[in-house]
Amino acid sequence: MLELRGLTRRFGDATAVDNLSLAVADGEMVAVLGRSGAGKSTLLNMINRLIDPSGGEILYGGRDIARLRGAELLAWRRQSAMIFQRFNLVGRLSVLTNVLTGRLNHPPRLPKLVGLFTDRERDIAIDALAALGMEDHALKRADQLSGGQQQRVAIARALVQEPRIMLADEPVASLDPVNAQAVMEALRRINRELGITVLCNLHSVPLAQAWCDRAIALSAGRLVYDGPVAGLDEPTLLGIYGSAAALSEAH
Amino acid sequence: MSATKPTAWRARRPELYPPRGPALWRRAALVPLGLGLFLWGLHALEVSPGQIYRGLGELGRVFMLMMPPAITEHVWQYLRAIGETLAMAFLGTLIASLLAVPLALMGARNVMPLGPVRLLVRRSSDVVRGIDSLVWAIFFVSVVGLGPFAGILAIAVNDTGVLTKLFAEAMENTDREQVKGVRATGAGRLQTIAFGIMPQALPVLLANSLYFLESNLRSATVLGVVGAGGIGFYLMDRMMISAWREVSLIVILVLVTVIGLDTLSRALRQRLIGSARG
Amino acid sequence: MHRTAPAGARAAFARAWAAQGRVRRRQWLVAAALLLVLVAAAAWLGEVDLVLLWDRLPRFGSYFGRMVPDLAWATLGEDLAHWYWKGWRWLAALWQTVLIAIYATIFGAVLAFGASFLAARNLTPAPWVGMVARRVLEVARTVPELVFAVLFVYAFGIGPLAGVLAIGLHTFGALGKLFGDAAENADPEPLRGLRATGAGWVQTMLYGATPQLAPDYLSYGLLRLEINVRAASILGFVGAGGIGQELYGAIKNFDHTDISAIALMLIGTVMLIDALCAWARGRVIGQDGLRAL
Ligand SMILES: Nc1ncnc2c1ncn2[C@@H]1O[C@H](COP(=O)(O)OP(=O)(O)O)[C@@H](O)[C@H]1O
Ligand SMILES: [Mg+2]
Repeated sequence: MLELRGLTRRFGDATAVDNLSLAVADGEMVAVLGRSGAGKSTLLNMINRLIDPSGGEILYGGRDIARLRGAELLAWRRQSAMIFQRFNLVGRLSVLTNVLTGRLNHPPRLPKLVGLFTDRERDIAIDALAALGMEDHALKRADQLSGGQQQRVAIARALVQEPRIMLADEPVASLDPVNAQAVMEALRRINRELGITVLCNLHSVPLAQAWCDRAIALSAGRLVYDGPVAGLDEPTLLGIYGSAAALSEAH
Repeated sequence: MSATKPTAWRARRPELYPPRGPALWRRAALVPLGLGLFLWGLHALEVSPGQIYRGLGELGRVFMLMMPPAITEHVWQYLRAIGETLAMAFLGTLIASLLAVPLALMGARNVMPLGPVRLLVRRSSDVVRGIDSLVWAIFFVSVVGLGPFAGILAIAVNDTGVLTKLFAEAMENTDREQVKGVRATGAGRLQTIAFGIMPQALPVLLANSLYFLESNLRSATVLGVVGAGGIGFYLMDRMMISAWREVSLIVILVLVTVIGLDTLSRALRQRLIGSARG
Repeated sequence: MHRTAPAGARAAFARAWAAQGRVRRRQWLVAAALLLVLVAAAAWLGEVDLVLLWDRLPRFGSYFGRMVPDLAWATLGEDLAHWYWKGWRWLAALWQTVLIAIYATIFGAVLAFGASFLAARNLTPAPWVGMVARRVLEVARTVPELVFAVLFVYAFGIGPLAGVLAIGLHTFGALGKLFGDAAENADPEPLRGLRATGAGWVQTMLYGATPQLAPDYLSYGLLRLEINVRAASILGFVGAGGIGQELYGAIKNFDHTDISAIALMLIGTVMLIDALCAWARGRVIGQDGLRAL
């Protein structure tokens, strides 16, 4: 179980995430909603520890993730994979190498510094690519792929990390509807078949309702909704998005 | 998508795996081959581990002897020599810049229509550039005698070669559309150069000159080694008599001067480039 | 928004324009005066003596005249052999010069590669590490090669090792700065992507930063190799190996035809290396490819 207690992050005077407390059971698929600037990205980045919290606790498996340092911190990042809106692949590396970078924090580590991965790790990487229908592109440069293809490579990279949690920050915001469906479906399958917990920032309410069980919503860094996606009726949504105009953008 | 044993892909997609068998050996053989080549080169350079070991020890000893830098009555002499060094770099660069403009005009493809002239200018600038300013300094010492004047001439000549090439390239890299625009107004050849090419190239030329002022200050600090003026003479002299604490003082003075000029020139360069853009 | 009277605006503009023009002109005058003072001061400090130069001008001719060897069509082979009487020895020294340049470039570039990640503000593991790295690089590139060379000849003895180390150290400083500046423009997104997987700092640099920067680094390294061949050609003056020793000897002994023979070989080599490097750089920059790794 992932549990947040009073999690807070301040940037100067502004509070991006404000005293957030909630619990996510293993194997859940949770949508994180809220208007732009509500603190969604900051929240996911804090869970992966790309951003340090200003206060509060992140509990997982009886440990406070917010206090991890050094090798333990890196090990946690490996277990909480991230997917980004802009894919964040290394454009000049091949698709396969990009996926293999998800194994950098698995032993043996030294040979990887000179680009040597074991055959078993290549097996795992190609399996992940095959699961996303990308194995035929393995030797292409990552920056030669379309956005949808790049995001699938990024998911494959996350998969080979063998994570416990997958944190997806607006994974489909840069994609066309067809690719968006494919990517959301992949995340759902990862959640169902591998039992990996998925937290997914989404800019669109229908996407959340189509793919997730539970939704949480942030407004100015505070938790304003936590419940089943079915409970996101019109008045609730107006409360989350503040105005009808903002809400219509999220449809 | 499962957490069980991964598929063995090698049989189906061998190109996604490192080679095996003879292909692997061929690739692996590159490592000792490269290493052998590297070591052979070191051997050709007469490098031995013992020499490195002894040298490092000696270096450490000299470094300790340099501390702390000695501030003696010579310091005024040194400061004057640094002023001399600055003067050498400044005048050398200035003369070179002034000489390089007409030469570059004769060497730029979009200015000089006569191929042989261009070739002559470019090749002779290559030759002049290929000879280090220290060699030119020896030559000029034998022409005008010991002292900073020889250094100025050495820097000026060597840099004329460098700047001619750079200036000519800057002129060739000017935007052709703008030049065409000027020509379309009925401007003659000279006018096209004056109003089409030069205004675009000028900031680049100035920035290059300033950059080479910095680089020439570094060259000027060593011309004294062959008697062509500047701080280099004292530096070498104090090293020869193992006055290490004065050596470190001189090195610090040089560092301060060079870094100071770099900072100044960088600020000027940024203003130049800024004014060219804005 | 209010509308100002057009006539008033025009007058104000004309006034401002004129004022600006006056400021410009004054700035130009001050700059010109400053330059003149600087030139005068530098000429005095630099002991510029144009009369002397004019008097000595004929020496140029005779100096170069004596460098021209006696070559006749009938005995061309013999004359050339006479001119290049130490040809093999010079060739060996030249080869050593090229080797010094290559090894110094490798040595300096490898160190600069590592240092650039420490020095770049966006990549450095800690701000103070970046500060220290930048200062070290600054010192390494500010001290002239020849000074390092004298020091190393003293410590390591006469020979090419001192030359390799001296040029290598200077190259470390110069390339470290260039590499670091290039690294500061690295795209942060791939780096975040890698850090998020649990990759450590070294791994993030190798897999995230290096692929982006490799073409720039290679291109700068090749440019440096050209510069280092020139630098290596004179280190022999202070006993640090290579053709410089031969050249210095010829100059000291007034062996004028030897000077021209060595200089010609040197210039040819420099041009050859320049051409090779330019070709290699064109390939690095041109195809952008660097085949997917
Ligand atoms: N690095 C940062 N520095 C300063 N302010 C930041 C930074 N990152 C985020 N913020 C601020 O924190 C708030 C939440 O940002 P973010 O988490 O990106 O929101 P969301 O992802 O929901 O759009 C915003 O007001 C944003 O301006
Ligand atoms: Mg966001």
